[in-house]
Amino acid sequence: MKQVVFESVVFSYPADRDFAPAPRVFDRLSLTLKPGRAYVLLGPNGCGKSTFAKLMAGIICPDEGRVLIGGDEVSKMSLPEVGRSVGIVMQNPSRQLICSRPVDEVAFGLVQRGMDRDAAGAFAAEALESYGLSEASGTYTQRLSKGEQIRLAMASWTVLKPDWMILDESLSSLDICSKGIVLGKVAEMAAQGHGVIVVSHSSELADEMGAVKITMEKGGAVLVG
Amino acid sequence: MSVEADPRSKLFAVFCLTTMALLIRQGESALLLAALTIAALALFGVRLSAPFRILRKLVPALLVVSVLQVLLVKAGRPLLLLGSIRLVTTGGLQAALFMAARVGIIASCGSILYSIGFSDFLLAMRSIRVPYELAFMSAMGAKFLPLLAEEMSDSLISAQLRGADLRRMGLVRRLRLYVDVLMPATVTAMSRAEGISWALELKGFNPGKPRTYWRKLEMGMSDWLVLPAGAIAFAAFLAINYRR
Repeated sequence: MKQVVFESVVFSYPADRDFAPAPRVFDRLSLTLKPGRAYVLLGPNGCGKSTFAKLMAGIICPDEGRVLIGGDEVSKMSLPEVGRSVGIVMQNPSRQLICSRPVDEVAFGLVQRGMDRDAAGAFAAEALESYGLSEASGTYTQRLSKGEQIRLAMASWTVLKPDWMILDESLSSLDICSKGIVLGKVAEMAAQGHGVIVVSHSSELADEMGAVKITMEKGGAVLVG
Repeated sequence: MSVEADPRSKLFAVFCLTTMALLIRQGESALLLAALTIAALALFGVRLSAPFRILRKLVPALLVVSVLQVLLVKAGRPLLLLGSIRLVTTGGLQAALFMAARVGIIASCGSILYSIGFSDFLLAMRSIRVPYELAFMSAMGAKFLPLLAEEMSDSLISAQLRGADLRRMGLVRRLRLYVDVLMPATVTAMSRAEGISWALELKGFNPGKPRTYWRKLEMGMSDWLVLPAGAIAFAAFLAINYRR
């Protein structure tokens, strides 16, 4: 599994409504994340937690510095290449669900990576079951509850076995049952040597998970511990 | 000089500029229009880089269209011959330049429109006797476009991260993916619109009812000057553009 390194990363969003330059989100952020662990990214709204996740997934590129995954620079990789190492469950999971049937959604990535449709379907059905979504398999993906959508998005990533999984504010809107399933999966992934990053507001969650806390403050200060 | 302009003068300027952009026929008129557009951006306090930000993602498509214009339009004097084939002509170059000018001017006008706030837009529309329902729907529609684009972008990113390689994908597969991506984005946008409509109704909002306004728009001196300046510029443009 690959290590993630943020090397003197500087980032600011291009412009606001009046096209005036925005302040820096990160000012020379340096951080190393080791696989086989769960990290909880904590901090107030607007401190850059989701930006951190997007930088790591190659969705946005740093203005200066580098984000490296296993020594490869993320900004020089295509999204399908980054996706082999990093999976992300977005803050609003309905945006990332493309197919109308849950089974097709989970099979989507497998098919894109060359797996036969039937085999991918079998894998997908198994994954849906392990995420407690078998009963919801007949429901249109956009009609699933938010908790089910989060589990579906996560299932669609776990079948692809990325080195890292990022859950961007995914746990806050889950009921106890769904949260239990997701936390169980997070622990399972970490035990298998994958890295997991959970973006959250809850310090208690980090304690509950026994995860490494990364506390971020507005202006880009980061405290790991 | 940058001033806090009245939205009506911005709308008038945008109307003049976009109409002129569609009518460009002469090189001189294109230059005049480019100068007027830059002046309008400066007057309304919009950064010159703003239209470029809008156009950034369209650059490859614009280049392809420009090259096609250069190669396919055969009017005018030949500049490059391949045997007896007129490869590049003055007409082709002119068509490509006019297309680029039009797109640039429309992007600049988009930036000017983007600088008008939601309620200012409604007030401006009301003052020029546009029915409130129509103005409200247009403003809401305009507000939703960037959201829809953002949702589609998220879906597309998710598909790419899971292995959909747009660069290597065939045209048919790529189009199918775009259609697939459009679906959740539209559903989410519609559900959001439904949520907003519920919230508005619960707060007693009814677009059909007569309403009063606390804030009033006031045209400053520079706003009044935009009106004759626009009319004179339009006349000058027509004179240059359609002279024999």
